[in-house]
Amino acid sequence: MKNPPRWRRAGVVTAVVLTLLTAVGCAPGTPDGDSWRIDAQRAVADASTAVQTAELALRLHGHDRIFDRYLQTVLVEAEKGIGTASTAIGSKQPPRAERERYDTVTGQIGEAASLISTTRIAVVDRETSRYDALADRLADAAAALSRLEDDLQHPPVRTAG
Amino acid sequence: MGERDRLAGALDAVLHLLDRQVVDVEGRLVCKVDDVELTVFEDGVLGVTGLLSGPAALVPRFAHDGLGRRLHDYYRRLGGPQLDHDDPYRIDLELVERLGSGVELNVRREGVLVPQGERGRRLNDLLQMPVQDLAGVQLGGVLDVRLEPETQEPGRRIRVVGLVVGRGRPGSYFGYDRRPDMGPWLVRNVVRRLHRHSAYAALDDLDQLDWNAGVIRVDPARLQELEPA
Amino acid sequence: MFQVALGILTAIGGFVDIGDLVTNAQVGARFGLSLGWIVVFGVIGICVFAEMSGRVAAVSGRATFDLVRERLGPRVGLVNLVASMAVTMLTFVAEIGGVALALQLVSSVNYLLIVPFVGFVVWLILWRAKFSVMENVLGLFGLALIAFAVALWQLGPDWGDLLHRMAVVDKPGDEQWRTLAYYGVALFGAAMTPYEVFFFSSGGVEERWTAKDLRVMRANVFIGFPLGGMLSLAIAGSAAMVFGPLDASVDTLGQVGLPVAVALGKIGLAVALVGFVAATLGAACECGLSVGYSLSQFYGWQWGKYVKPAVAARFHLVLALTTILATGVLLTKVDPILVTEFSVVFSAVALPLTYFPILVVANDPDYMGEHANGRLANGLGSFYLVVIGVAALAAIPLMIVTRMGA
Repeated sequence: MKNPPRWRRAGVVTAVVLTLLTAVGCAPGTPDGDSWRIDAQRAVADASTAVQTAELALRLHGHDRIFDRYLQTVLVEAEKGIGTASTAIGSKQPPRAERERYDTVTGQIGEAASLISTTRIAVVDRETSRYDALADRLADAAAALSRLEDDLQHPPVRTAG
Repeated sequence: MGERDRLAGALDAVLHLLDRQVVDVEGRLVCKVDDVELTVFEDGVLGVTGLLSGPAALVPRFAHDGLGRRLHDYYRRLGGPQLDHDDPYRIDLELVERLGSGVELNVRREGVLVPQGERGRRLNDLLQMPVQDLAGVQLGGVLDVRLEPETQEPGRRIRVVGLVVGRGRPGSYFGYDRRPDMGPWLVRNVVRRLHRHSAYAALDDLDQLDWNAGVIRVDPARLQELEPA
Repeated sequence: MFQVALGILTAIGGFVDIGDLVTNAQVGARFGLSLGWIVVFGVIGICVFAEMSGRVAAVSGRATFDLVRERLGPRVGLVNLVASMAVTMLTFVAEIGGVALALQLVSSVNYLLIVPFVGFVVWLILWRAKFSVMENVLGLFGLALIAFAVALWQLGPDWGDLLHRMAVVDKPGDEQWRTLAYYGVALFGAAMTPYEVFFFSSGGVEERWTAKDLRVMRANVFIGFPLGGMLSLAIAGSAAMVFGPLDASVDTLGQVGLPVAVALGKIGLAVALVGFVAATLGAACECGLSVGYSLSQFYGWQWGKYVKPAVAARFHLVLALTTILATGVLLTKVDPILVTEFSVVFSAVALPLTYFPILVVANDPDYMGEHANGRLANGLGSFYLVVIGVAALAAIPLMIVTRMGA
């Protein structure tokens, strides 16, 4: 028939909508603890990226391979990135078992964020003498975040009591 | 462009004429063929006499189902008393030089679009008519309208010689009805399979073509095989 | 000879846009070159369809959206128009944002002040500049992105290993197949953007191609685009060399350029920045024009830069409004990189609507005469139509399931 009856078209529409909803629903639903852990991993990875990018850019400046303006923009972008990661994980409610790791994660990301801010301030003010020291501190922060990321691969260790 | 003038031979209205670009004699773009004006002559011939363009011609082409009809009503009401939203622009067929990949006119585009004035018959009216058998059972719709030029009259006439009847929207044959060997293989076979129930109805074989009631009646026995062009 | 060389160079420089810059760097940093074969695949696809649409434009003088409405009818054509315009607008926003980001890497001006400036420059070019001048200047300067190829060379990768990774789909241990699939679709969408085809065929009409220009057109496509694809791979490869070992992800334009700084220092970085600006500015102009082309070709309005602006008043009005709208969206401080990520995925979704009419018309002897598709073009065209269909259906579910590739 040229114009299918209304009910048939409504049926097709409903079928399509249901298929889409099922597809969305099939997005992996994870149990609570795992969900926080995965979010924490992501936040730590983003923070690590920001820190390592900042360190790389600083060291490039040390080798006279990057412009001041470029370095500054990279640092501002890194600061924004780690800020987003920090807010994202800080605002999520951790399950009981993860309280300890929550403190560690937010603490370390917070420290790394303030380090990047310090670096950004130094860069904007062109305090080139501080760059090497700041780069070393960034490297340490990156290493710590990397260890944290490894730790987050496993579910929380249940402490006695 | 080196293609032959399509208007010199048989052509399909939807495939070759409708929605084509209209170009003036200097190559500037004028408009699209949003609809085609049909006239019933005294000798019973149904012929193409002009091209229609503008929203007043385009919006009714959406009105083949509920949503489109509402859109059309809304558009009409937007005209209010000031504008007649049923009156499209018209280009007389005399102004058409040839039909290549677009419609080429023999005049400049200034002043070529003139309001139609009176409401004549349109190709879109035909395309939205259901095709039924003598008992009123739905057979399908009009997929395309076959035209042929007449050369014996003073002034050219292009007459409607028959209808391509089948299921689906007008133009959904994409031209594979006229050229069954046109590539690519995959598309051609899918399209032809979807249209395997199509047939051709010569205008003279139609039992009834009721413009006012908006229905076409034909005896299924008079339906012919679709021949390639 | 000069014309041919110019066309090829322009195609190389014009191939890469903000979508390619960002997506290739992201994928390179995260997956190495294991998705590189998708870039190759996408380049072949765009070559097939650009050649077809260019041939149709040269032989019949009709550009893509003309054909879309003609073959699909006004209703489906309108759906197609709305979808294509939406995706192209999204890409337009991303490109203007990309120019602003690139300029921010060079100047101390606030981003929110650069954005309107870029919008104004884009509009000025669209309104005033001659088509061929715009194409040639921006395309040639876009060649500066060769800095990435040089940088990759300098970084001294293990070429054997690199090629091996490209050929074998090597899934890094901690990644899931669906994430790989999502980025594959994104890369594919970045390589085969719809606006590319609108622009190429409309550009052919702008430059008054005829059947005599087919050879030149094919040289542009078959040499220019693949070399442009190699630039994309160079961006991915250099990101892989620098960010891979750091296990860092790429989310900013500043990061995209760092491998060049590592390998080539300030000079290389300066050249790369020129490339950034030229590539994104060129792509922004192409996107803006494509929105105007699509709308005008659907309604039959006079379009193009080959006539005076006064003759194509509606076309230029659409361009102006589009640019204002895109600039307005950017002034809401939306992240252009995020917009880019959306635009490449939705490009993949909108692809089939555009390519199907081209494939059909390129076969129509009424249009093409003796230049209708041969068996190779049809074989490849049909194959890619199926692939594009699959990618289009998979794109949004993948985006949802992987949460945009997180």
